[in-house]
Amino acid sequence: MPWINKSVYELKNALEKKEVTAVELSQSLLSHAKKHNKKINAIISFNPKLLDEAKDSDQRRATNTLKGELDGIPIVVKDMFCTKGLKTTAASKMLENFIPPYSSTVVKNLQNAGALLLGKANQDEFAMGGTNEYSYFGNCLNPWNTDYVAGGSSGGSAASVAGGFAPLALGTDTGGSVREPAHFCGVVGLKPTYGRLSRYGVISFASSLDQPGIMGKQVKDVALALQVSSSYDPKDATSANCEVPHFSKNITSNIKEKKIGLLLPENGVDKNIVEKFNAVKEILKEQGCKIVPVSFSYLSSVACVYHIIASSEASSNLARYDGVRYGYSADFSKKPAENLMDFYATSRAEAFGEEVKRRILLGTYVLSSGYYDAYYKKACQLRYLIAQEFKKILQSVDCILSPVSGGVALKVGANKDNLSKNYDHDWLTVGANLAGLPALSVPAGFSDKGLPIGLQLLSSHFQEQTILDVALNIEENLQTYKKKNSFCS
Amino acid sequence: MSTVKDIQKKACIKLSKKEEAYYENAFSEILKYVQQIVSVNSKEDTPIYTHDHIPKQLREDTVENSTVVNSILEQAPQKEGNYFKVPPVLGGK
Repeated sequence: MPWINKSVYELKNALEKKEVTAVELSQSLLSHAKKHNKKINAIISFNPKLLDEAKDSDQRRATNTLKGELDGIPIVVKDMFCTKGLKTTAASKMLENFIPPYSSTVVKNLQNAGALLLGKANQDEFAMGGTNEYSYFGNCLNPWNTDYVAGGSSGGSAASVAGGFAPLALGTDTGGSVREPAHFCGVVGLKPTYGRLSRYGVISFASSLDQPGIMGKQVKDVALALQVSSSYDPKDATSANCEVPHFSKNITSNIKEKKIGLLLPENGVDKNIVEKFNAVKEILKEQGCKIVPVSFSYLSSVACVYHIIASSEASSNLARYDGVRYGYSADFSKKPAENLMDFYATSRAEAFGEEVKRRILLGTYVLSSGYYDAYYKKACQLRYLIAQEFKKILQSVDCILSPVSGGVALKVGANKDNLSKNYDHDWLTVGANLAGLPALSVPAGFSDKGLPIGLQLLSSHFQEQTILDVALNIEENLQTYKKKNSFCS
Repeated sequence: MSTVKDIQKKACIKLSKKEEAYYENAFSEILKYVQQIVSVNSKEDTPIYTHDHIPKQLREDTVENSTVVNSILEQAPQKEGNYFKVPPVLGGK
C-alpha cells in the first residue's frame, strides 16, 4: 500500500499533485487499519462517515476552497476527546454507549483545518495507567512486537501512528500519557505547555495536569498539528490567551549555540537507553550546542507527589458519573435501589474498572478530614518547589534532555500486579505536568530486542519551538523514522 | 471499621465483600507508597502551586439560551418529559 507510513507533508504533497485523492487515501488507510487492528486493538471505533468526509475534501480541492493545512489528511483521536455524534468512551464501561452532543475544541480546530477523523483510539480507562492494560475494550499492543504493551494511557494513539493507521494522532498527557507511549512505539509525542491546547470537551481526569497532546510520525508533522490545534478558548478557564507562533514555518534544525541541560539519573535507567542518550549527547555537541549536566533533587518523590494530586482531582472529577444524566446506570428492575446513594454507588461499582476505583479510593482518602494536610496540602507545596526547581534550571539552559522512562516497552502483564512499581513508572515524565511545562519524546533508536527508544526534551512555558527544533535536529541526524515494523513493510 | 469500608462510602462506590478484601490489600500497598511524601522536607509556609504562567481571564457572566436540552436528554438512562428520572430521594433506608 503506497500511502501507509507516510508523513503528513508527504501526503499533503501527494494530494496537491493529484497523485491520490482524499477518498483513495482514506480508503487505503482505513483498510490497512481494519486489517491490523485485529492484532493490536489500537482503535475502539472507526468513523462511519470517514469516506463521506473525504469526498467533501476532494470536492473542496476541486473547487479551490480548501479548509486549511490538513485538508484530506486522516487522523486518529484518543477516545478521551468528545466527538459530536461519534461514540466517546474513555475506554470505560461507564461511557460505553455515550454519544457526545458536541466536539472538543482541539478536534474542532483540526477538523476546521480539513483533517479527517479515521477513528477513536484505545487507551487506559479514563487515562489512568501507563500500559493500556486498563482498557474496558482490552489491551492495546505494540506494533513493533505484539508481546509488548504500546504504553499508556494514549496507547492506541501511539500504536496507530506506529502501525501506519494514520500519520497523526491526538492523545492526552496527565503524567506522561503521550510521551511514554510515543517512546514505547517509536513515534514523536508532544505534551504542550499547560494551557496551550484547550481542554474543553476532553473528558477530565486531573484538571490541573491534563493537557491534550500530539503524536506523529515526524517532528514537522507534530509542529504543524500543534499550530492548527492551538487557540485561545474562552470555554476553558485555563486556556492561555497568547499568540500562537507559526511553529511549522519557524521550525529549524539549526540549533547552534543552544544550551542543553543533560539529566541522566545514575540508577534506574536501562543500559540501552543510556547508550542512546550518550549518542544523542554527542550529536548535539557536534551541532554546536553547549552541553551542561543538570540535576533535579525531587526525582525520587516526584511520582508520589503526582499520584496524590492526580488521584485527588480524579476522585472529584469522576464524582459526576452517577448513572442519572448519562453513562452507565445499574439495572434495578429485579431489586430496586435502597435509596439514591445506593443507586449511585451500585452504578459506579459496576461500571468503573479496577484501576479507576483504586485511584478514586486513594483520592477520597487523601482529601478526607485528618489526612488532607499530611498528603494533599503537602503534595501541593512540593509541587510548588518542583516547579521552582525547574524554573531555576531552565534559567540557565534552553531545554533539558532526559530519558522518557527507565525502561523500554514492558511485556504484557509484567507490572500489572506490582502497584508501587507501576506508580513509580512515571518518575521522569510527571515533572513536566506538575510544572505545566512543554515536553516531547523524540525517537532515538532501538534496544537490543528491537524495541523503540525515545528521549525527552523539556523546556520553559510556551517554548515548544525550542524542543521542536532540537527534536528536528535529532531526527535529521538519526532518521529513525525510516525503520519500518512489519505492519508498515 | 476498615479503611476501604469507610472510604468506599465517601467515594460512593459499593464494593462486594470479595472486592473489599482485594482493595484492602491494594490500598495498604498504595498507602505505603504515598507515605513517602511525609519524609520529604518542606517548610510549613511553602506556598501552594498555581499555574501562574496563564494570565487570568475574566469575562462577563452572561446567560445564554441553551438549545441542547433534547440532545442531552437523549443520553439519559431514564427520563420523564424534560427531566432526568431518579429513584425517590426520601423514604429509602
